[in-house]
Amino acid sequence: MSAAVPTLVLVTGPEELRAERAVDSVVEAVRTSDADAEVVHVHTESYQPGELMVHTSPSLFGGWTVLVVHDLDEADDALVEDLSGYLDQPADGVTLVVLHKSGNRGKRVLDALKKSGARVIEAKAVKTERDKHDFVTEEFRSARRKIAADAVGALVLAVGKDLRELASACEQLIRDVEGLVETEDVTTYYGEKVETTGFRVAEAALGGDEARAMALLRHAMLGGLDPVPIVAVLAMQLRQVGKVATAGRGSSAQLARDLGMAPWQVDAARRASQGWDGQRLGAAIQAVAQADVDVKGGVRTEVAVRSPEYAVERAVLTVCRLAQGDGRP
Amino acid sequence: MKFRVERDVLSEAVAWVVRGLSNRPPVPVLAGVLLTADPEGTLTFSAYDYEVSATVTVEAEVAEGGQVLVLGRLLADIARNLPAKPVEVSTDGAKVSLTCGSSRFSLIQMPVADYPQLPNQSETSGSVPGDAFTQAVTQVSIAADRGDTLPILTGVRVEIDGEKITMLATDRYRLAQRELTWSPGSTDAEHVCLIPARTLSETAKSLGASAAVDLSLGEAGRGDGLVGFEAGQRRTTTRLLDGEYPKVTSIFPSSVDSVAVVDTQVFIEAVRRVALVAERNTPVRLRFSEGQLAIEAGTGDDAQGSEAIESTLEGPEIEIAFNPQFLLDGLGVLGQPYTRLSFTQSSRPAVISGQAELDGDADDSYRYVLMPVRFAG
Amino acid sequence: MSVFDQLVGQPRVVSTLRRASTEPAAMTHAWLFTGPPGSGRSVAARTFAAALQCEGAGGVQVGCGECQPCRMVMAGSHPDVRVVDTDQTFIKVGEARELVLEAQARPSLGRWRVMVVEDADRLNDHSANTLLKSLEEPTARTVWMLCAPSLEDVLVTVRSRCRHVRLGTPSPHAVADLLISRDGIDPSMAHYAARAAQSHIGIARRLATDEHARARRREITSIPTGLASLGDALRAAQDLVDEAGEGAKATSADHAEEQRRELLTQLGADLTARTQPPSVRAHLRRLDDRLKAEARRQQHDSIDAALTDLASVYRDALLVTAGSGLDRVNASEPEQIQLLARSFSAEQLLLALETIGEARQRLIANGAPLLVLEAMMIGLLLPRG
Repeated sequence: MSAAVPTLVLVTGPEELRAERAVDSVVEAVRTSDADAEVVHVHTESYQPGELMVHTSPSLFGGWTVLVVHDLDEADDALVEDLSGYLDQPADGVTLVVLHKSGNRGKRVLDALKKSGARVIEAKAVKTERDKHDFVTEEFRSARRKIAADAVGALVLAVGKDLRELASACEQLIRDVEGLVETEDVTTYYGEKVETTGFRVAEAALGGDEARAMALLRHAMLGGLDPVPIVAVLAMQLRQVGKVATAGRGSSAQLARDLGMAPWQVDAARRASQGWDGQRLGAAIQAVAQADVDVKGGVRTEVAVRSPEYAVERAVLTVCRLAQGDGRP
Repeated sequence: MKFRVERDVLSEAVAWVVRGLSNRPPVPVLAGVLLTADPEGTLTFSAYDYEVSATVTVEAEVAEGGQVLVLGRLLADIARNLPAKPVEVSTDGAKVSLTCGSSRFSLIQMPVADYPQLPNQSETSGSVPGDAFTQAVTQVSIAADRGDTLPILTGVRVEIDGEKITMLATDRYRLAQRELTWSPGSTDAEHVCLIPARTLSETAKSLGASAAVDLSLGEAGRGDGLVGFEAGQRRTTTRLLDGEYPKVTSIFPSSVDSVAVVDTQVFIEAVRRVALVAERNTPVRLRFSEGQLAIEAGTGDDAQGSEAIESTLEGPEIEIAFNPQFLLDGLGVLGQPYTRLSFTQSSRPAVISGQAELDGDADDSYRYVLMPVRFAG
Repeated sequence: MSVFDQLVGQPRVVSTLRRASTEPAAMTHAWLFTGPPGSGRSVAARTFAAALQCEGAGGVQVGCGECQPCRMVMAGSHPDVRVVDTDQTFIKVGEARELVLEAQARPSLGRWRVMVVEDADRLNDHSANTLLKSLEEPTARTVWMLCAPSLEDVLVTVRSRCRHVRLGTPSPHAVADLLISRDGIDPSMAHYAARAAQSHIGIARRLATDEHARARRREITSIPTGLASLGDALRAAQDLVDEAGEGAKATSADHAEEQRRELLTQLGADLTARTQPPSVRAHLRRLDDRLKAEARRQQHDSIDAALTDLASVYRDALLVTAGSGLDRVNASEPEQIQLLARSFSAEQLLLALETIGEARQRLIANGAPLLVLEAMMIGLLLPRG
C-alpha cells in the first residue's frame, strides 16, 4: 500500500452528498493500490458490540478493507468504546473512515482521530442560492464542460432543492447534451418540475397577469403537481423581489454577494419589482404566508391534498390584484 | 379424472412435493399441488413457489386421465392420516373426492388455468452418488454467507470439469471446498453455476437418500437460470444466482509451516466448552506446542476459560485465534475421526482437513480454510 | 392490442418504456414511476415488466398482451416478476433484505428479473439503505421498478439512483379517445364524460354509459344556481346523502360476494361450506376487514366525488371571471356557469370553494355527512338581489 493511501479519515460536516463523495474518493484512492479492496459500512442504528473487531479482522480475500462508520454523531457507547479501542491499536490493511455531521457526541473519538493524524475532509453544507450556483458551475468545470449562466439559474431553480438531485441533473445534462448547455436544455429535461411551474406562476402573478397565472396554476394542479412547493417558490420569489427592491442601487454582482443570491436572480428580481411598492409587496408576502399555513394544514388527509388548491389560488389571485395596484382582491 | 393409488405411495409423494411449499406463497394459487393422471398408468404431483419446483411421478391405476389442482398441505395432511388401504380419487364437479376404506373426503378444485407452468427440466448432464452429494452439500453450504452485503456469497459455486465436481462457498472469513467425482454425460463437460446455499441443502436433504442424483445444468440462453436435480421419479429445479463470483483460488495457502493433528471429537467438545463461557464475538485462542494444544477464550488477563488436549505438532509452535463458531462449523462437518490443521503464520489462513488415522495421510477432498482473527498480544 | 393500451393519455411514458424494452441503449436497471393517485403508476410498472418479458412480435409491438409471458405478468403470476405491495406503514428491513437476495437470482423463465416495489414511499431510511447497493448495481438481468405518488415521497438516496418516469393526469381528450375506441361510446358523449369526470377514467366511463350517473351529475352541477333559500339548501344536502348511501350499498354487496368467491376459489376452499377450515377463516377475516373499510370509504368517496363536481362549477365560474380562456370542466352547461359568474364576484366564488373545501375536511374528520352538507349548502346560498 503506497503512502498516498490514508488509514484514518475523518469526514466532518452535514452535507451528505459531499460526505459520500469524500468516502468515494477515499475508496478510489485505496482501489488504485488494491483494486479488490472491500468496503464495509457500519451504521450506528444497527451496531452490535464487537462488530468493529470482526470487520477489521482480515478476510480471506486478503486485500484492503475500507471500513466506513456512519453517523458518529449518533453513536452509542458501545461503538464509541470499540472505536476508541481500535484507535489505540489500529489493524493492518484497514482504512477507517468515520463520518461525523456535527455536534459534540463522539468527541472522544474525534479527538483520538485527530491526534492519530487522521486525514480530515470537510463536507460543508450547500445552503444559499449562491452555494448551489457555485456547485453547479464546479460540477461542469470538473467535467470540462460549459453551461450558460442563466441555464445554471434555471437548473438550480428546477432541481436545486436537493443537492443530490442537482448533482444527478448536472450529470445527466453533461451526459446527454452536447456542447454548451443552455436554458432550453434544462427546460427540456426538467421543465415539468414543480419548481419551474411555481416560478412561472409566480412570474405571472408578480406581473399582475391574472389570467395567465390562474391558467398556469390550474394546469399545474390538473397535472397533479403538489401545491406545497408552488407556494414555496411563490414565497421565495416575493422574498427576493422584496430584498432586491429594498436594497437600493449597486451592481448586480455586489447585491448578489450581499444577499446570497446569484447575479441573474438579482436581475430577474429587479425586473419583477417594477410597479410594486413596499406596502403591497408586504401584503403579498402575508397572503402567501397564509397560504403556506393552509396548504400544510392537513397534508396528511385526503381532502387536504385537494383543498390546498384553494389556498394557492387565493394567494395567487391576491398577488395578481396587488400587482395591479388594487390593494385587496 | 379418476385413479386408484396405494395410501403409502400417495402420502409419500404428496409429502415430498409440498415440503418446500411456502406458508406465504407469492400468489394464493401456488399453495396448490397439481395432480396429473395419465391413462398410461402414472400419476404426477407438482408444486412450485417460483424459487423451487418439485415433481414426482408414481404408478397408479388410472381409469380416466385428467388434471386437478388442490390445496397441497391439506392433501398431505389427509393422505398422512388415511388408513393403509388403496385410495380412490376422482373429480366430482367442482370438487375432488377421495375415498379410502370407509373414509371420504371432498377437496375443492383450485383453478388449474391460473397455475403457472412449471419450469422445463433440461436434459440430464450427469449423475452423482446420493450420499456423496448430500455430504458435499452439507460440508460446503455451512460456509456460505447469510447476510446481504454481498448477495452472491449466499450461493454455492459448483464447477464441473469432466469427471470432477468442485463445490465451494465462502463468506469471506472462511471457505469450504469439496471435490467429488461423478459420471458426466460427456467427459468434456464444463460448467459453472451458482446455486443458493439454502435451497441446495434442502434439495440435498430431500434427494440424498437415493442411490444417485442426476443433475441438469441447462444450456446457454433460455433455461440457463435454473438447475435441475432428479432422483428416481423425483425431480426438482432451483433458480440460480447471477453475477461474478470472487476469485478464490489464491486463498489456499501455497506453503505449510506447522501441521497439527488432533482427535476431532475431543477437539470439538473442548472448543465448545471454552467458548461457552466467553462473550459473543470473543475469539478462542489455540496454542500448539509439542504434544499439546491449549485452548483459551477471552483476552489477556480476562481469560474466561481454558483447556488442554493432546495434539501432534510438526514444525514451529504457533498461537492463533479463531471465531469459535466458525471453527466449530468446520469441525462439525469434517466427517473424519482426526482433524489436521495446517498453518503458516498466526495472521494467515489455516487449512482444516480430515484424516482417518492419527498418523495417516490427509484427505484433501474437503478443505475448510479459516481466517484467524486479531487478538490483543 | 398492446399492454401499453392500459396507459391512457401517457404517450410520452409509453414511448419511453417502449424504447427501453426494445433498444438496449435506452434501458436502465432502476426506474421510479410517480404520478397522482389513479394515474396508473403500478399499471405502468406492470406493463413495462410485461413488455420486457414479452415473447410476441417485438418491435413496436413489444408488450403484445397476447403471449403467455405478457399474460402472466399482467395476471401477477410470472415467476420472474416480483410485485411488492404492503399494507404496513413501512417496508421492514427484513423484507428489504429478502428482496435484495431475490434480486440476485437469475430469471428462471424470462429475460429479466423484475422487482416492482409499489409503495416506494414506504421505504424508511433503514430499508432504503438495504436496497441501495442492489438499486445501484444490480446483476445484469435484474430491473428495479419503484412506484410512489411523487418524487418528494421517496428518499433522495433512492430516487437519485433511478430513472424517473412521471405519469400525469391524462388529458380529457385522451380519456375520450379511450372511451370511443375501447367502449364504443359516441364521440360527443365521450368528450362530455371525459371533461366532466376531470379525466378520471372510471368516472368518465360511468358517466358515458350510465344515464343515472349523468342525471345525478346534472343534479349536482345545477345545485349552485338553485340555492335561493334555506329550504333549497337543506333539500340539496339530503338528496346528496341519500344518493351516496344507496349507491354505496348496492355496489358493495355485489362486490363483497364476488371477492369472497374469488378468494375461496383461489384457496381451494368449499364455496358452500357452512364453516371453513381455520387457515381459510383467517383469510376470510382479513377480507371482511378490508371490505368494511372499503364500504366506509366508498360512501365517503361518493360524497366527495359529488363535492368535486360541485366545486368544478365554481372553479369554471372563477375562470370566466378571471377572463381565462381555459377549457371548462362543465362546458356543456355554459348558462349555469355564466349565471354563476354574474351572480358571484371572484372573491365570493373563492369563498364558495372554501366552503366546499371545509365541508370535505369535516367529512374526513368524521363529521355527520348530512349535517356537514347542510352547513355547506347554506354557505353556498346565492347572494341576495
